[in-house]
Amino acid sequence: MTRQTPIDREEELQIFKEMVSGKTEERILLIEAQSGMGKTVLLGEFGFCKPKKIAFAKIDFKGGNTSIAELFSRLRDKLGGDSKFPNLGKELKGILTPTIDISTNLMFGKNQIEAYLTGSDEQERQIRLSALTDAFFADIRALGKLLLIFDTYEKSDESVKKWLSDSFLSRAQNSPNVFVVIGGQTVPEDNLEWDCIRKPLKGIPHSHWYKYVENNGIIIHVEYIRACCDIYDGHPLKMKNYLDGYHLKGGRA
Amino acid sequence: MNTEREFLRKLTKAKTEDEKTWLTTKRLIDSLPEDLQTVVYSAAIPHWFDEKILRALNPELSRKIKRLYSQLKELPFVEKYENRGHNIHELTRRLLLMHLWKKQNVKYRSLSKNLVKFYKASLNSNVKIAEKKLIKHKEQNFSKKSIKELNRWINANPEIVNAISLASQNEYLYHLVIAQPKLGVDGIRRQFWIYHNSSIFSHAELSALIELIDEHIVSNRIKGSIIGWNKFFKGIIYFYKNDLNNATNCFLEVIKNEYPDKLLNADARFRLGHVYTKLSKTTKARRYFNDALLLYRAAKNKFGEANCKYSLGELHKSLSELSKAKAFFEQCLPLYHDIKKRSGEANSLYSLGEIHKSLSEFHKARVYFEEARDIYRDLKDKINEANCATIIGDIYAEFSELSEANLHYENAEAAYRQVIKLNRSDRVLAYYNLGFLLKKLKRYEEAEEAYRKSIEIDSSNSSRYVGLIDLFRFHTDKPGKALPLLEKQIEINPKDFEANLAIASISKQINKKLLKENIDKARQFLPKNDWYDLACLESICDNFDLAFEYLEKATHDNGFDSSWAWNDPDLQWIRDDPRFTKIVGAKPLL
Repeated sequence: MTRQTPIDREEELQIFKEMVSGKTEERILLIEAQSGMGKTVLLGEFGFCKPKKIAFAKIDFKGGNTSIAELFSRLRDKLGGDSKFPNLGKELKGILTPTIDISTNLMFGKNQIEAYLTGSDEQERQIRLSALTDAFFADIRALGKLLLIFDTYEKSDESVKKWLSDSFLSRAQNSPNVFVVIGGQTVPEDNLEWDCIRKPLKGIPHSHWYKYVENNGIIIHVEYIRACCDIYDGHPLKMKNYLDGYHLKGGRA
Repeated sequence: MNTEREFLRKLTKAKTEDEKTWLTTKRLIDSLPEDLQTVVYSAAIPHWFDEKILRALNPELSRKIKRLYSQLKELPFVEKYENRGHNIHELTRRLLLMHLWKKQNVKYRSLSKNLVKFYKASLNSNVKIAEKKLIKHKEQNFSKKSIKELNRWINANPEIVNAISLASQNEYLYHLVIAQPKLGVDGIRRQFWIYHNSSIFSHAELSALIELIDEHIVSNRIKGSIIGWNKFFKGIIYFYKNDLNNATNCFLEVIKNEYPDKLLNADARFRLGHVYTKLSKTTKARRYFNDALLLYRAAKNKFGEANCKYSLGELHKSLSELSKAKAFFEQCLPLYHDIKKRSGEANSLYSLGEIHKSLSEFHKARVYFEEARDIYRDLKDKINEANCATIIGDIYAEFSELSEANLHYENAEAAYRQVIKLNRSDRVLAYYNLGFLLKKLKRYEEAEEAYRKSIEIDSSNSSRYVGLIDLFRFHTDKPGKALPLLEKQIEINPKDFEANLAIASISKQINKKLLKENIDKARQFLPKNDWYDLACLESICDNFDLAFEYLEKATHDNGFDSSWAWNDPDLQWIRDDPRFTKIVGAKPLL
């Protein structure tokens, strides 16, 4: 069985490293690519090679189901819990409505933030969301350098998309210690409120696949690698499936 | 070697991307040991898997699952799934499912059945644990301490919380609709409504279920009315997000497809009626409410029937067609009563009260408001209880029964203040309505304070400014204080012609100056057949002849109020002209 080898994304890793070390003006990096191009692996690499002293949280929207309340909650938990978020706690103070009603509709596990964001109408929700976002940023600005990575953006709920691309990123733009990476088959569209580095992922060239087969002990003629790479435009998942399949077949089709 | 060339040639010749991708994926899977192949195909059925799920899918491989799971994780198309184990990459999963559905349909359904069994058991057992925990906290009335403890328990038991999470419930339904289609459709529809009717409704859960079902629809794995329900709830989400065009399209598509589901057909028409009401397309709204009414009646659905009649009543009321509105409210009232929908009953009584009050039938109106108030009280709906008390107070005041009136006003004030104290989301409305009541009681400073509170909480809502503007313009000698509020309204809605008109009117009144910019904007955005406001505009601009021409047309509108015309500051510049009395009628005595 072949081991999952990090694929060749040196250019993107370099951009990321420069960004988190403050060498670029932009602190928002958007990674856009079609399915199977290796976004998740790359975002995982970002988490792995980030500077050690930077606080870090990664959220994957895979599977949907993530409301804004849920997102706040997960970020808070990943970044140290209640004690690190006094402003958020203050904003939520007094919200004691029990939101756990499993006998009727199995809503168990809903949190205080969900209750806070449940207004009588959309407008009320927006007002609360804005107050909560301000409180959240007041807290994360006190955390020192912080890296937030969001994966599978296209699967996030419409309201989460809107919040991330408007309120969240514009506040992140004004928070010099906050770095944000968003990856997905779609990513937020350009907005005058924030600047970003936009990096679409392309296929991986032949040269990398030669290294890949070498590292994984696959014996295959370079002509086949080249031919398959041309057919799939270097698409990482399809190439791996091809090469691993070839290898497991013992080099025979 | 030649065979590899042949394989590559096949790849080149493949007509679609899917075909190309499937060739290599299938070759990789075919080269795996047989038991691992079985596990790969089965692992494509759920959106995520762990050892337990793989075991449920493949009971015959139970003893080998640990090893097979480890091997599975090493495959290039398997990735981690946060907090839940792993999943097959979506690109590969889609192709595996396509293949399974087409070539091994029975196997596909039986794997889904295994998952239904698994999720049902997991949900049931974990719900029991959670319920037991919950009862203890319910007994403590969810005190601060108790909620804190409960949150700690939730954090310490992620497995239980995951097992009964909405994601797991959705996943259960996703498999149920394949394993047992009829049960699945009923379950999904029920779950859609549970999300919709939940007091903590957020679009995310409903959207997530819609997307899951879409997966089956796009792949032609399910058919029939469930497709219509999915579209219907997409329309609902658009409606709540005020995306009325998309909402209209969704409901129209459901209607066009004529699914064999009476309730779906009725519900789609009913919701479309509401979209058209919001778009002020009253003829269309009425048509769809009427269509829905017939369908609900045929389906013997009294609640739907009552809701249609209530909506038709509201529609006619908004058009000042009071006798038609009254007839509809009178019809829906017994229906709500019969099916014990008490809030519907209270709302109908309230609306009947409003109609009788408009017709100056004060005694009848008061009786209706009192009945509505009592039901709202039973339902612990404090704001509506207070609203009723305010209007009952008004009716007593109308007959100069001031002590009785004050008693009701006091009750209303107390109820609003109770809501404010609870610090719930509806306190905005409580502040606003309290401001209105205090203004009525001439406690202007307190009214200003209440209005300002509601603005403070809800500053981006233009309608929140109306009460305070009204207070400054009509109840104080400082109408200029309304100007910054009107500017704010324009900032929120640059097309607000009423705010532009009011600024022009106040400026002329205070500074004797006509503000061209506001006049131009009011003229630009004023609807062409809003004769009354056009008359106001021309009055402010001293275009007397035009003002009277429009005012005359306005008197033919259903909602024309002559006593207001005598008090409206915008018309002060034409009121001394004899034509005014001729058109509007004599000045009321009070």
